[in-house]
Amino acid sequence: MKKILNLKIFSVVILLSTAALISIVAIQGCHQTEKREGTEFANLTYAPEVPSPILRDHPSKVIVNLETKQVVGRLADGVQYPFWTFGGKVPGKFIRIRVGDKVEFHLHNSPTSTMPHNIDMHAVTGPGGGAPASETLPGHSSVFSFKAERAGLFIYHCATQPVPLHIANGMYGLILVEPKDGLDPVDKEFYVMQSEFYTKDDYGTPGLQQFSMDKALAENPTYVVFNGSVGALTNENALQAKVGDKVRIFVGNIGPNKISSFHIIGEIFDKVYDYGGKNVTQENVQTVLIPAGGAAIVEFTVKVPGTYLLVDHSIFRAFNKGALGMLKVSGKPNKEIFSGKQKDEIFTETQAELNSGAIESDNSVSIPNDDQPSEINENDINAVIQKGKQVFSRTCIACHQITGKGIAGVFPPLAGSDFLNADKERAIGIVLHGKKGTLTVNGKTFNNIMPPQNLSDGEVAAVLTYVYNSFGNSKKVVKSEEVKKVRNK
Amino acid sequence: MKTGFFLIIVMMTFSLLINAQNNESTKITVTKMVYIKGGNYLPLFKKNGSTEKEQIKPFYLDIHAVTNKQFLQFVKSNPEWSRSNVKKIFAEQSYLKDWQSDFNPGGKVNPTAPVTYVSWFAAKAYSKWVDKRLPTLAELEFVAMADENSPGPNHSKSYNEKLIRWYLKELPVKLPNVKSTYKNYRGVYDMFGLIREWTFDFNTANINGTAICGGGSAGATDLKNYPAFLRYGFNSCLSGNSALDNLGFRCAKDVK
Repeated sequence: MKKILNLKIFSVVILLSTAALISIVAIQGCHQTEKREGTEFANLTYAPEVPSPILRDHPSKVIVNLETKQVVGRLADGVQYPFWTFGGKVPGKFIRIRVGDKVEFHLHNSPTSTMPHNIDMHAVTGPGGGAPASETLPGHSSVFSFKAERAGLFIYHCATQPVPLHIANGMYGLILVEPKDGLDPVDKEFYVMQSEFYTKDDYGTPGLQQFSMDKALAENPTYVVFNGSVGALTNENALQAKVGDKVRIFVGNIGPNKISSFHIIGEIFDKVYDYGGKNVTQENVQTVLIPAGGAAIVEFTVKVPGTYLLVDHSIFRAFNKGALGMLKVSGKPNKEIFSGKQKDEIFTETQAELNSGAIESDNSVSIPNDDQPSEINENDINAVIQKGKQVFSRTCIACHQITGKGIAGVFPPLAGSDFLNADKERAIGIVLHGKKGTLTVNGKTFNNIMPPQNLSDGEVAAVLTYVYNSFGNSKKVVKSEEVKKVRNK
Repeated sequence: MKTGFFLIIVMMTFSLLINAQNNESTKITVTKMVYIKGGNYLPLFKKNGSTEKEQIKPFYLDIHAVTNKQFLQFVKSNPEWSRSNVKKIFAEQSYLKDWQSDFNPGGKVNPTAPVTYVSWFAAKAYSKWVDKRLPTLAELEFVAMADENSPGPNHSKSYNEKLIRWYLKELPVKLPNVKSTYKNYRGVYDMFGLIREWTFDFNTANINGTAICGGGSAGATDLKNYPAFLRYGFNSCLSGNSALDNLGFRCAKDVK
């Protein structure tokens, strides 16, 4: 009796504990909202700097202070523009927070401003992205709060009437909302913002510029720049990295009109977060589309030293309107990945045609491989001549032509050449060392450059023997010892 | 007899002097006005979605904005409007900020430049004191439609660009005299290029309830008229006690 009772009690206890365990696990699973702890002031940075990654593992209250100010500044060398700014510079400061943070935003409008300003942050869920809540007269401040609901890289800009003008004059920046577990660690992070400026005068006209309504409506910018001015990221202002660095660039494009085709010449983006969204959407991308009022995050590892150009690949903007930046990478070369220029050779059309098989050399002799050594008996003239013909077809016809007639006024003929037939030793010397300056062949003057030929003694002897025994020449014979003698002179 | 005569002369001179002094303190420099014929005008934001033009009835308008010198006369006669005495609900902290003291604009302020850092309440009080009133938004926009040579509303491209240029300019440290920019077709000076001006019904700039402060262009009748947007945007953010460094006023008067 007791045994059965014990068993019953036992099973009931087990059942109840299991039920309890399951419900605890279930509740934990449902419990999505993190608990917010602490208050901190956001550390904002000017481009191209980015604030340090968020280290905390919980959301907090974050206080952001940002001032709007109208400032005349440099748009290009000798060119000034009356900018409207967040924080005194274009682009505005970078804001870095974590998903779940409650931001208390203080927007200050400098008393020197001539008009009200506000802020619309694409990271805000709420009317106007915060604009009506932050409309601020000069010499006043506004405060409003929002919760960062979604992780991602977002644009912010002023949205006071007329909005396009406030944007066109420089009022924009980026706000990064880090996901819960942050972004992967990298060696370098940079902030790049593409934007356009519309001025009455042409690109580069010195002096204080005026906004051009016409060009803005026609969507024909005078300037397309990274980080607010021509040359903001070039030469001494270039981004810097070392070979082996993993680099991340937070790229924004505010427009106001154009879409960007963002590309770094010489690099491939290993990872791309399209549109500045939460996830990596593609790998191994050459050029990223960034919509006006949008952003993207790109990551890549630099492997070869040198200067890498940041461009909008709508390439006339990069070349003629200022959409050009630089990333300078220092460190040891890596010839395995990139050799740099290895050779510089002469090239003419005939060589191209021969290479492509468009024309055939005499007797359909195929062009031999470079690494085919040909040891022949020098006493066998015919063998020498055959070998010489091969060398000739490979090395000489580019300039002297397969007929040996050369090109009038450019390359001297070998056929029936008085110059060639007059002096065998001189001919050997020219094949070995090349020739610069004027010479006269059959009464015609030539002034060009013949490069030294990279041939063995046997090859020089063979090719000259072939030339002397062809094209109506004097039928001389050249031996390799003679070549060696001239070479060692 | 001679003493009596002498006394009379002394008293007359004395009273004259006193009168002169009184006249000096009560003499008000009243701005000359022009008669505005009135007409039709299409506001930037349509009322209730209608495209009907508004009818502007004839009125008088000051040819230039109220100057520091003129405003000083008002403050002297109405010391409750001096900087230390004014109530915060009528004028904010920055009221007459650039004046040296309550009753002295001081050397840094140009006496014949428009007075700024004055609130709507202060402007309204002044206009009442000189037996005038503030112009309405419609009246001021109607007059502002004219350039030097024509009544508007259509203007050359260069005119609109000139206006935008002014909005983008930095404020001069010391404002220049009234009448120092240009006289428009209506005979009125400095409609642009000097200061922003108060209107009686400035807060109706938010006419449709469209969030103008937030940048709405929906319902606008002339999308290219950026200067008008700038003015509407500015107006819709003001409060009655706002006192700003590029905001002053001029007066209007009904035609009896």
